[in-house]
Amino acid sequence: MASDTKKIKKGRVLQASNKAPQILKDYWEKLHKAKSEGKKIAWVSGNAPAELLWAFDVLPAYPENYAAVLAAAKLSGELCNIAEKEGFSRDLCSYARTNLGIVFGEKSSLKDLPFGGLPEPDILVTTRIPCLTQVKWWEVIRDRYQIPMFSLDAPFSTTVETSQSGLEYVYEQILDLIHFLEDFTGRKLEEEVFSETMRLSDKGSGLWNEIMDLRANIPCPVGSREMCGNVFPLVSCLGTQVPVDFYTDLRDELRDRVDKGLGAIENEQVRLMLDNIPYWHHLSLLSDVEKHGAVFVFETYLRYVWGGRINLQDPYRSYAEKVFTEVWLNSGLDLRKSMLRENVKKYAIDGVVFLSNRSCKRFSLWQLELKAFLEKELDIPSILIEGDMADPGGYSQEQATTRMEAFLEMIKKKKEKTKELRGIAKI
Amino acid sequence: MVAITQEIEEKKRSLIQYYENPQVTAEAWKAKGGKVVGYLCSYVPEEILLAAGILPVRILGHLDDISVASSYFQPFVCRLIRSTLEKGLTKNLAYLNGLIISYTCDGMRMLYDTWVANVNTEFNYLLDLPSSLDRMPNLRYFQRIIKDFIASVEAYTGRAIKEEDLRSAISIYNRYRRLAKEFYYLHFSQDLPLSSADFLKINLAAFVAPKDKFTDELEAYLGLFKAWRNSGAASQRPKMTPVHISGSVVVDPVFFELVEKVGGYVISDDLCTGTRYFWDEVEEEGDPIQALAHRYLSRVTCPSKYPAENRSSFLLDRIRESGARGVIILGEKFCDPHLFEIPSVRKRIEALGVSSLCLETELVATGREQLVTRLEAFVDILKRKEGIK
Repeated sequence: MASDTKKIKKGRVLQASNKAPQILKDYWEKLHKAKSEGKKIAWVSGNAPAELLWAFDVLPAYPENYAAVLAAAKLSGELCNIAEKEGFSRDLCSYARTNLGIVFGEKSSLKDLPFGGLPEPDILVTTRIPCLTQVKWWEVIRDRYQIPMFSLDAPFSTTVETSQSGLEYVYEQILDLIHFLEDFTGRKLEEEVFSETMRLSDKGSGLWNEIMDLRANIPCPVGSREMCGNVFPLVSCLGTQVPVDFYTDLRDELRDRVDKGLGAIENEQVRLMLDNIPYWHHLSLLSDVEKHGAVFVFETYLRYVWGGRINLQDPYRSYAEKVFTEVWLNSGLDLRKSMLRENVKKYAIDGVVFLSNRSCKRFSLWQLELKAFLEKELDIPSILIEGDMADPGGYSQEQATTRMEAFLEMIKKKKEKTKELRGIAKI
Repeated sequence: MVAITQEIEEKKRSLIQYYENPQVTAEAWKAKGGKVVGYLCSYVPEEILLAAGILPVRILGHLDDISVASSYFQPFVCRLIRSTLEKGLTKNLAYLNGLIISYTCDGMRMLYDTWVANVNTEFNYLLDLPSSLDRMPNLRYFQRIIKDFIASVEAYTGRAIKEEDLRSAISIYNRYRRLAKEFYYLHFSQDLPLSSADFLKINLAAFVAPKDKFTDELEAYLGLFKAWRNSGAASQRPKMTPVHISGSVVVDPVFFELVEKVGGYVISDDLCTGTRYFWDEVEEEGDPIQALAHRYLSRVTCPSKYPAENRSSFLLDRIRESGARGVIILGEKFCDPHLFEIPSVRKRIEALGVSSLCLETELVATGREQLVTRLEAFVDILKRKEGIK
């Protein structure tokens, strides 16, 4: 056991997580190689139906994910400046500005970017499902490269049951996207390939959900920071074998930890929930709490942004349904409340940390209302930490840490008091 | 001469009154048994509301402090959204029976749920518009949305909208649109006894007044102008430098006064509260629902739509047509759709050989003193380019 632990990178608890950086590296290498061999590259937004691209052997590249990588490497600030010089307001999404810094930047200034930079796109597939920003940002890219673009549109989900009008709309567009890709590639979608892609996507998502469920155990077997590093295969490779293999290992290891009662930290006192995209430039915000006996056990970002199951008996319609439902960013206020209620209970949450991320209106604008809801209806305390996912400007880690520590103290006291009251009640 | 000038002035006052007291008009409408419903966006097919006996009143946002709404929305969403919420929460829009919000941008969509949860209006409606307009499924969905809207309005009023009422509403709106356009062209010549600020106020008045009555008044007003011109009474004031204003919702007359103060003349625009609102008519032949769907789909687009070519070519056409020497782009803070388009729109404008100035606004241009300096410098450059100075 001791020798096993040695193999695990500092700050991680799972051996399987060690493979994540390699998967990321392999993925970008694969894309560059494909590009040089004349294969087509699509620039794709989060929540866009990328499985279909894999089925057409068009390789999806994720500018957003790449922006997150750059932000974590503290390289996004300079690119945001390039975009600003090009005329893009500082108030626009920092993922978009980071990417537009690449799109409009001088080639020479981009040569040192990680993974050899972003391979240029041949086609664009975007969607309004996470936000309208995706569509308008992609339109700028389209103007720059003069290449075909498809934008998948959808209404918000407002109830647990899928709206039939919304489903019909997305379904029609999925069929339309297939035609669009057939026109682009010059070949028909092969049903068998599509079925296999759907099967792999469903399997990958199913495993991911199992992993998320395993984290509901007390103690929680793995924390947030490590899981943020493990989401990439889900984001970019759904519909391929990669996430299936990776998440099978991850799940098995987590099961084992749960069986043995091993937690992400030794003495778990406080269980936290995180809302919004992490501040990639200061990920330690997620792990520093562990020094104080607290661990993030659930994230709206990890559970309700990607994934989703597909009914393989009715793959087209079911695929359409998965694309726009169970997505936090595309959910109405009441639906978000009920998702919060459900998970606060399921994960035995003691407190919620809302990252008030000025780059993301879809994530952030209802947080104040959700905060009040948690306090009033569920007696769950929460805090709001202001910042931005990829633009570190204006964010103070020191201030955030101080506030986090005070928040954890408050939760501990509250729990202590509840315990005392329970004790009194027993007497 | 004096008499006609005075008459023009009186008519103007009367038109501007709608803008200054929207609540008075709304209360009068309600007193006669009608309903009054607010809306926020020029994609709302007002014809349907009018046909149902509802007075549509556009909520234009306001410049007062925002306090209560700050407990609901963070400051990084536009002032139109925050100030509308503020007005709703502080019961300043209590005269409305309802509010229609269309899904244009993310902030508006999110405002809808917040409004429904916190403001007591009896008829709230989300017009769930598509964001893309380039593919067949988008068009079919849009038609379904229009039909659903009609059904909901009917359910609210408790009576069916008759086809003849819809036709009549369409024709009232078309008549308004034709006159608004005529007015727009009339003021190109710079000889009307009318300031740019008042021109704006009259355009804004149209959003809150009953359209048929307003259109009658506007027609009479324009008639007076024509008579005045025919009498040979051309304005003696020297020609100013014509500028085009580009943006979305612009409701600050003071800004227009400032432009005039530094020697500029707001000649043309592509504003959501200007030309983009009245430019396109509805086909009066054939099925009225189809015609409405067609009009709102093919109209000059809002930057929240994809693709944007239709708006940028419209904007360039208006600049060419008006002969504007410069373009002032009002970049509304936190308006993502606009802000994404500004760099490419600017390049297209500059390619025409027309200079542009981009200002950051929050319904009102921020930093007034600095603003005057910047406007002055800009108009100065335009004049120098023209060799007038």
